[in-house]
Amino acid sequence: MKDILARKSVAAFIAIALIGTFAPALLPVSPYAFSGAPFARPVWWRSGSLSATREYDIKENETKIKWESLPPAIFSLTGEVTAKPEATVRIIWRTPEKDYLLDELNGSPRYWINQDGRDMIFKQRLGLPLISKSVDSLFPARGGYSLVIEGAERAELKLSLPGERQGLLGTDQRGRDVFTLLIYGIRTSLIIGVSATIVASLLGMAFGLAAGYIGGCCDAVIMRAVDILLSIPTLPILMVLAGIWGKGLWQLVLILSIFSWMGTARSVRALVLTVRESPWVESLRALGAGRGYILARHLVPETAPILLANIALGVPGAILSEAGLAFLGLSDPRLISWGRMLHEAHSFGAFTEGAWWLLLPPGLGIVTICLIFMDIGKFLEEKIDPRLSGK
Amino acid sequence: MNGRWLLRRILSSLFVLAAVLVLNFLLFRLMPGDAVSTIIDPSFSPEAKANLRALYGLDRPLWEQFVIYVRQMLTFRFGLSFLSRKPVWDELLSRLPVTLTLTVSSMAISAALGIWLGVKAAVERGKLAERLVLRAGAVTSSFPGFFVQLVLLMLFARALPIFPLRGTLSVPPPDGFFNVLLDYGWHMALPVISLSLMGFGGWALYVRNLMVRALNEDFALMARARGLSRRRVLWHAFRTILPPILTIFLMSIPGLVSGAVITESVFSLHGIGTFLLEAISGSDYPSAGASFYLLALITVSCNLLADVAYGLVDPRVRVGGESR
Amino acid sequence: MTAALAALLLSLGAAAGADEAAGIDINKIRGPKIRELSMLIITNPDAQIMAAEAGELDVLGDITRPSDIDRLSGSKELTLSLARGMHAFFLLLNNEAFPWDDPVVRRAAAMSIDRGSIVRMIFSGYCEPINSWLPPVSPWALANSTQDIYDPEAARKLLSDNGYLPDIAGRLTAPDGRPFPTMKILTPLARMAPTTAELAELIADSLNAVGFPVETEPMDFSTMIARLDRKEYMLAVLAWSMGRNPDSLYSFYHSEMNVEGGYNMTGISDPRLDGALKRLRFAPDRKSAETASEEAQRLLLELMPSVPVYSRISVAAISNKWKNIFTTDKITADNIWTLLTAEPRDGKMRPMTMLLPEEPRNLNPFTASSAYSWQVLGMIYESLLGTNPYTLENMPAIAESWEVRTAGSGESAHTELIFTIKRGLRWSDGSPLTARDAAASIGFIKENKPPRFFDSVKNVRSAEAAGDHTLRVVMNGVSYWYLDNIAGLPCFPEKTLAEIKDWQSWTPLDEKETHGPAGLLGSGPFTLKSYRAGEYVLMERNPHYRLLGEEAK
Repeated sequence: MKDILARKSVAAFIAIALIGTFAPALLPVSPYAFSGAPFARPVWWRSGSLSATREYDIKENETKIKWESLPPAIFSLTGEVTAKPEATVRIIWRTPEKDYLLDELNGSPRYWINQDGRDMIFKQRLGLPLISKSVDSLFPARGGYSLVIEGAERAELKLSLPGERQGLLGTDQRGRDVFTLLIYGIRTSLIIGVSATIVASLLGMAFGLAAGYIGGCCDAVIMRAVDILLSIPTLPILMVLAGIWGKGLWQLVLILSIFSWMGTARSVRALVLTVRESPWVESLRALGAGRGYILARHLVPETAPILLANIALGVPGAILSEAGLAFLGLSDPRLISWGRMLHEAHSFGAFTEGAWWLLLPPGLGIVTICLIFMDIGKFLEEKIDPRLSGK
Repeated sequence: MNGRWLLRRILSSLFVLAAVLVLNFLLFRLMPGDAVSTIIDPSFSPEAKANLRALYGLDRPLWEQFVIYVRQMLTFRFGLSFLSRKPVWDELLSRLPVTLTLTVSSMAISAALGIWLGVKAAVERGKLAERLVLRAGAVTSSFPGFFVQLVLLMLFARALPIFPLRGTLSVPPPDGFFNVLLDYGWHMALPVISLSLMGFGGWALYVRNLMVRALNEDFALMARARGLSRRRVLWHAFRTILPPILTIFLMSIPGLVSGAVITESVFSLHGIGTFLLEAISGSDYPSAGASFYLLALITVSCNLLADVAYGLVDPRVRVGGESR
Repeated sequence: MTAALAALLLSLGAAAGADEAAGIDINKIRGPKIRELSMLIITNPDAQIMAAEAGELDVLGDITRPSDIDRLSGSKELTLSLARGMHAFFLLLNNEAFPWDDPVVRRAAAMSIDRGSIVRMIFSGYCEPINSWLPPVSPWALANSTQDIYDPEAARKLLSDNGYLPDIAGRLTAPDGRPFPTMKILTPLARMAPTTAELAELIADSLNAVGFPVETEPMDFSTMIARLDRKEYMLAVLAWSMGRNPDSLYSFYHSEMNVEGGYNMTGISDPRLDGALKRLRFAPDRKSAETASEEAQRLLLELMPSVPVYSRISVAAISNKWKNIFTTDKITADNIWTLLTAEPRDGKMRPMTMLLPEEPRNLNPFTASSAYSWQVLGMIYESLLGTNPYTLENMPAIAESWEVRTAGSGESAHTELIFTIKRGLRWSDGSPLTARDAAASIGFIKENKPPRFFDSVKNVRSAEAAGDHTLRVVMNGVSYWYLDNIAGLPCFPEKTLAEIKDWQSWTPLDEKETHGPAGLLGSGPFTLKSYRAGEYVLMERNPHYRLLGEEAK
């Protein structure tokens, strides 16, 4: 089994597992934070006229800005202005075409400024249509712009202009960074996929061994339970159970494993039946070997390879089930997973926006992990049953 | 095939069905709240809620509800849906055509394609064709269905709008039977293609493995050694793997409906899948109960059929006990 | 802090989009001009937007996703209109549990929520922060209903003035030294309410900043409601449609409704509020209803049993291929008046296409409960009174005038409603509509108690027609709101009602019924032509509609 480490898929799995474990700690932004404008394209997207994010610290009375691209996504001005109470402070946005009076303040020594182009009150004050993107009016053309503050003693303002391009993989409908979400999603997919399958395989092995070795009444009960569980439609029942137990990470693991041990149990049982009747085990029994000894020494080792292959082959199924549940909007919204990302892409307008960067990364992520596990599983299976290998 | 075995098999199927029946009832009642409690409308007084609960029969003791439920299921009169107040049967029947078209056609396409490719791969062992089939099979079956569908939608209904984004019919509907059929086909193309695309890989891999085994069996080796034509050997080998193919065909039918849930919600189709989804999230006991029961019925009878068919087609299977 | 405290007082009217028809005298409107209306059932929001952009949809109502609003606002083919909506979002506090049993703490929490940035981040600004338990659009709402009371400094000060001080870790403690427990905000899952979970996160951030230890806990909607019902919660977020009348306040905040199945989920119980709400519910006339409504709303502001967060703005898009679109600052263009006035700009008459965002499923008016069923049924059936689109007050429909009076005195005092039915009205099959039809409708509903109308008729003592044109409804007890209850009931023809054997299983669409699809026989502007589940509902102009112009008849 040494050659397993030479297998590319195993190396890939280790690499992904490491990224999923350690990278989240290294990423600068929280996956929940709004880091930019909604539906911003990846920063490397070649359309040069789309704006990138820019920020200006404004201390002087006039700040000049040269604008050479399409309008930014958001116009936001925040900070503090101090002035004599009797003076009138005017904040003006000067465009090549028109001046906009953003704010006129008086009667206080200090003012907090919190202006945002998305607010309806902002659009109303500037006389812009209430249903429109105010940035289209604030940035009508390429050229020189300036932000002018009149009558202030001191200004400490921040003008931030989140652009239409941001982050390695763009942003989602809330302006969260897709790359960060993608990295955090690895953890969820791996934990759910691997632990649900391990639990399911252990359950399957335990029940399969019990049914096969003890036989009789125990066998009948377990096999009927298998039949019953196999007769319940999986996805709908998962939905019902998720409703009863909750949708956290570990609840999902539990729910998924309860509904995927049956296949393993059947194959383990079948194997045990053949091994039990084998002359070798018969002779051991004749020599007075105990049940526990036979189980531990002969049956478990016999079934172990099947189990390993089963685990590897079962992971994709569990990952896909989790993704399906999340895609239907039935998972915990705080749990970042690839299925959830696809769900959000589907229900929050990625289609109308043509936002492929919300669709491809999580989808391909799921596919990659599934392929890796299928490959490992196939490899293990071929080890067990050499007839299947191509050679 | 012996009669006692068949009888035992049927009895155990009935037992499974009964257990599913009880589980269905309990599961839905375990979910907190019911269809009435989730109405948030200030013009709905507690009195009006109680009235509604009485109409739904939710005010009766649990055992009485259970008796009514069992009677409904056994007589196939499922009563009125809570959400729509229409007979559940009417709702199911109005949604059946879409789901049937979707599942039957995609199943047929993927099985046919998969069997053909699987046999081809087994025959061309070690060659490029086999590797291609194996690769394609592994890749397509590890794609999450909805992802493929979303990408197809994005490509062919958004970027290159040659297929519709939703539904089964244009509005206004075209005139003439043939045109309606054409329109229907055009609307169902993407969902069916996507389902077949994801389904054929599994079939190809399965058939290829069976075929490889069959071709390595003694009789095939011997036939080849005796100089039988390649075609004859292949046909013999294929005949031996028919029972497992039939079995897996029957066994995969129940899973199709689960697949339909997601497909129908991606393409906004008016089918059983979306019905089930609405019924579960709306605590619509009669609708959800009936759909679960019918699904379990389909599953159990498919499994039974698979076993029987296995015994009939393959005389080698000794049916003294359970054949697993 | 002056800037943060500035009241956001929007007057949307001035800026509303398609106002070609603004200022039209609604009494002079004649229509519908269109002969057919096809309602396309499109459940996928992306498909809705793309159909509108492709010109397949003429009317698209209730656009909720901000990216869609921004996107469609740039379209040359469509005109958008907006109006304040009735839908509002609340943070519910369990008033029976520490620390929410103190109104000061509730008030401080209300002041800690940064509504402005929530509206910006989640709705790109297309929502309105509110501080009111009635929708700002309602004629009954107080003047400062959209004031943004966010002021964390003042909240901290209010708390410390009352002895609630933060400990070293920043967590608030009660005057008696008890620390605030960690509280969970219950929030429904994405399937029910797509943005609610994120909203709850932002609210939690706001509250944490002031020292309330708060986390969120998403769960199934039914689970959540079950816990609210049993008061097993500390905080929860919930959105509902408030309705234009203040009468709903009784259901939410009167202590009598603090029972299982009642809507007083906050558990507030205050004798002054109870008194005001009682006076509001049983007000004999408009004047006293107004006084009581104002008093109740002031008390709510003082007691803050729940925290209003924002109210939705409705946005509708309508294709520029149509002219004479009707819109006011209170309703968007996708209204019944537009369906009466709209005409194709190029003069070539064709069916108008309108979005139906969900399957109507059931078209039996007695059992249909979804808004989508009623989007269809509301065009077929009319009520005694309608709603004035400029003021949202009652206006004549089937009845041309009405009167509310209190008869009897003392214990036997009760309300009587007298409606005068318009002359010459006809059902869509041409038979005359009289006061007897209206009386029979009320009688039928009272007798069969369909859940949707149960509360409206439960206090009816009798409904009788005096001649063809006068309807007298006698109620048990006194309440001004009886008028709205009765005037909002749909009117059915007496002959149809006489044929219904079982109202629950009545299927008006059954071909075998004598009335065919016209089993849905109404007096509204349209009649049902055909319905194909999952695809469309086709409506046809009612040839006997009361507002149809002479030339169309």
